[in-house]
Amino acid sequence: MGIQLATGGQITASGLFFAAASGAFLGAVGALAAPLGGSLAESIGFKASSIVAKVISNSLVFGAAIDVGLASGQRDPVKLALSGGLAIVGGESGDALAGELGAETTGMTSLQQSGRFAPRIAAFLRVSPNAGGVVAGDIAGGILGGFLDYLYKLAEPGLP
Amino acid sequence: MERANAESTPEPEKHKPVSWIAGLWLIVLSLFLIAAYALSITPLLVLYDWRFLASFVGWSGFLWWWLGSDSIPGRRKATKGFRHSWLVLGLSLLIGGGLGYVSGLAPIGYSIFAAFSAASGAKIGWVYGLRGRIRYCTRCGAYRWHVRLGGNVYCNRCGHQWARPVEGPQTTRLRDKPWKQKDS
Repeated sequence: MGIQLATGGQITASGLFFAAASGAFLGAVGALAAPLGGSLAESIGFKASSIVAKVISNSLVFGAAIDVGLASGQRDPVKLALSGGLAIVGGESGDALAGELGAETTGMTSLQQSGRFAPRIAAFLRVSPNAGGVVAGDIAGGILGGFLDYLYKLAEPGLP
Repeated sequence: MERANAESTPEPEKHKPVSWIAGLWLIVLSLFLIAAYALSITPLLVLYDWRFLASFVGWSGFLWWWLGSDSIPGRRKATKGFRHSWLVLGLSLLIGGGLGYVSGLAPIGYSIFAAFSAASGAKIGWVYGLRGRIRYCTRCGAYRWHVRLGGNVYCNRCGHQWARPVEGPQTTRLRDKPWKQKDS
């Protein structure tokens, strides 16, 4: 915010909300991309940890970055790359944070595996055994992604 | 006894799962479309810069390497480790995107998104679409993706080496049509 003010940029409530909301969306996609990519890869005959799963996850993240870019009127490949990077880093950080809080999602390569992890906060939202871990990782990824994107949007006007 | 055996032996699949092939190429196509979109919004001045082309090749090579290779049970281990983690990919996107704001290095930043998308599609298109095939695995008792390794072809699930079911010389060609013996 200091950068924004120092550079004369205007801060609007709607702009900040959109920054946080779009970042949260991308962070959530980033958190869910790996296991969702694994599940989709399994549906076409590949292993959930295969390179096809990785590529599907990539396409989910890249596609989501473009969606957010289009929604916000962005037509800049550099910003798309940053959005994709923020989504992945936000998602990874969200998984790590959820793991610290007791919801194990690390190493999960498909959504179907969520039911096989040792239940810790399994009762969370009363979903299937430990599928709550996925939800928790997704929420944490969304929050962190939103926060990172919020910071990026604040710093953006000060960039050359 | 026969009934028990019949229950334990899976019914062989009769039809090749064509939807798998369609799914694979759909993913490849969508990634190329994403890359094409990224290139279409790249400024023309940047697009014709040699640094853009060089970094496009560089980033593509990086992603090709980052994706690594799949495991073939008993034959080859999957590429793993921190260097192939999601965090490295995310950080490289952030670093590459950040370079887009550095004067003189901007073309490097402009190329990363398109390069990553194109290389993702190219890698699976090459490994599975062009060099791999769906074949019936006699050990699994089902159709599986088969991949090449060292001149041979292996099931990606069990590592069983694929061989043609018809009489004839051993070959590693992966064509759909069965080998036919020429009339002498």
